[in-house]
Amino acid sequence: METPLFLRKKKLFFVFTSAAKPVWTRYGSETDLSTFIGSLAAILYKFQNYYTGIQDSLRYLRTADMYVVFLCTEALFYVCISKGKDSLESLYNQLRMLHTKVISTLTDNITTMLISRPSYDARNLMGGTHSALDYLIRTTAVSPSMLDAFMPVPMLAQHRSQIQLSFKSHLDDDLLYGFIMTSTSIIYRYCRKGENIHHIDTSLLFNMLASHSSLRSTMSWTPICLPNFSDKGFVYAYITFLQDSQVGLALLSDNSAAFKNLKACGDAIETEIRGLLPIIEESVKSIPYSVSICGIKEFKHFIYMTKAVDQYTMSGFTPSTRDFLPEMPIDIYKRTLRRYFAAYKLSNIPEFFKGNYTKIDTYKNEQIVALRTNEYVLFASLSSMLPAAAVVQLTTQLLRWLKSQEQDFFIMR
Amino acid sequence: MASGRKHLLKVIILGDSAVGKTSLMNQYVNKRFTQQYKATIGADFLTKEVMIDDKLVTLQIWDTAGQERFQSLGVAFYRGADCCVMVYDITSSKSFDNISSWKDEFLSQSNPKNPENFPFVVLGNKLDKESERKVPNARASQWCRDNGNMPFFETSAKDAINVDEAFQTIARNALSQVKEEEEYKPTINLNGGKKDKGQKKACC
Repeated sequence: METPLFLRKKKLFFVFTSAAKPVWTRYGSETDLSTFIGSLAAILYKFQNYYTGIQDSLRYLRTADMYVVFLCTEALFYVCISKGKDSLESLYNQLRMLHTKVISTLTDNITTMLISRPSYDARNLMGGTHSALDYLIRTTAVSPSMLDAFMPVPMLAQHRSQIQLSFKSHLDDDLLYGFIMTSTSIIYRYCRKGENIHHIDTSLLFNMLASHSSLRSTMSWTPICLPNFSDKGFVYAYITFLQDSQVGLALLSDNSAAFKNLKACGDAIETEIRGLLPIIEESVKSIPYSVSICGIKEFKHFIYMTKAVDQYTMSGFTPSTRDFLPEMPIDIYKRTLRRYFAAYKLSNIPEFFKGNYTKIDTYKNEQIVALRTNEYVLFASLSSMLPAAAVVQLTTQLLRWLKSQEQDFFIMR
Repeated sequence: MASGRKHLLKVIILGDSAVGKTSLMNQYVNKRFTQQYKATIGADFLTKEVMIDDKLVTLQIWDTAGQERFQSLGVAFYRGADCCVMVYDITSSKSFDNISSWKDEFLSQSNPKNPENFPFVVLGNKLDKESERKVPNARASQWCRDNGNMPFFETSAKDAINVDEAFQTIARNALSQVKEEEEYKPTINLNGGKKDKGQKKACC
């Protein structure tokens, strides 16, 4: 039997309803795929049926050369077929992000709708989102998604607080969240007092800005659902780019009539940060930065995350753009990331994690260190030749240095 | 992106084993017929695009297995169907008698919004075996009239008689179920009183 063209791709994603009606597919047209999706659904049904009464569903199938991973939500099914080396965890994370993106586009009302009308054809509602979903898949494939954090660009704390000041002096009651970002990086994030902003919501807004180039050419007022704020409806984003620059300002409100207020607020902030433009642009160009900035030559790569601000920073590679330095070619990065995932995995099990977790894995060409406490996570790659005592000592040294740089690496409160 | 709405309709084919469900579908989609009988295992899927008036409609046809041992799949398979096609063999009275239990089974398992108006289509297949006929046309027509005026066709998958016509009706009736402008209206304004913090869902 001949293999359809789309099946020869390395990594496939499908979204369909519980009635097996296609909603989105990464490759091929939903129409051509409707029989294939029917078969996928039939496999899921068969398992659901077999285990009737047990709150469980098929999670994955493994063959000699591929994973078929399933994520079943109440009304929508997500499937990934991967012939690559990605770990199961990272494929799950991608499916979860895909679901979040669908909810971000349609709000959770789609679930209610599909439960009451299973035959509903939701495909039309996803029109115009293909590039954003594809972008999401490409970036999540190389993100350290186990960290539950996002990566801002490094910037001297004094400069970042100047931006903060310009926000603080022009606050509006309608302003819920505010961002200074480019299509490749997040520079500053504001959050209304008493509210929180989830890193996934941050990523969703960033995904929208990065994948819709039309948002960059003009001033926009656009709805977006941020599921961790509320999956019941939309918040509204006022998005504008500073003249002749890559730097954009996004102001969000939970009030759909706040356009005027936010625009006034945006204009004022824009005027103030205009003077900082060269500094902002400089910091955007500073990533990816070399691992050598830590001053410890034994390290090949590191990722550092602090829980207090749900942000991480890494050397040599930028997930949002897939840009890399010669010291960290993408294939090597992907392999290292897989090894980080593997080293981190056990820390999710309570027996292994009691506030402190350290794992050192030795491979032929590198040693992987994974450290996790209630405050931070550190991953690092070192030469495989080093004795364990040296690894511990160097890691402590790196950690000390990273802590001293937190103010510049992250957007502090 | 193509302009205009695209429609995908889920069509379920039911009926006793060996009445010709797979053959009908193959004749319709692939214009092929084989004398060889191969039992369907679980379900088969085929897709066909048709024009209904000015609308391009994709039919996702679920050809189910007639044998009883596969029927445990029911509920899930029938979920969200837009049309149900019931097939019997004109040379087998039993296959015709069973049509009404297929209908009951479908309605009870799929639980559609308004069962009275759910589009069913009845097909009496194997018209090429006229000499062996056991189910008179009149009897089947009467049954269809009594059951909410279901469209009824006598077909031959072998000789391609009435197959296209039957499926055209199937597509048209299924489409009629899909309301013209399907209302999807997410909440527009969250603000208005204090928003309820949507419980942490979706992630993790």
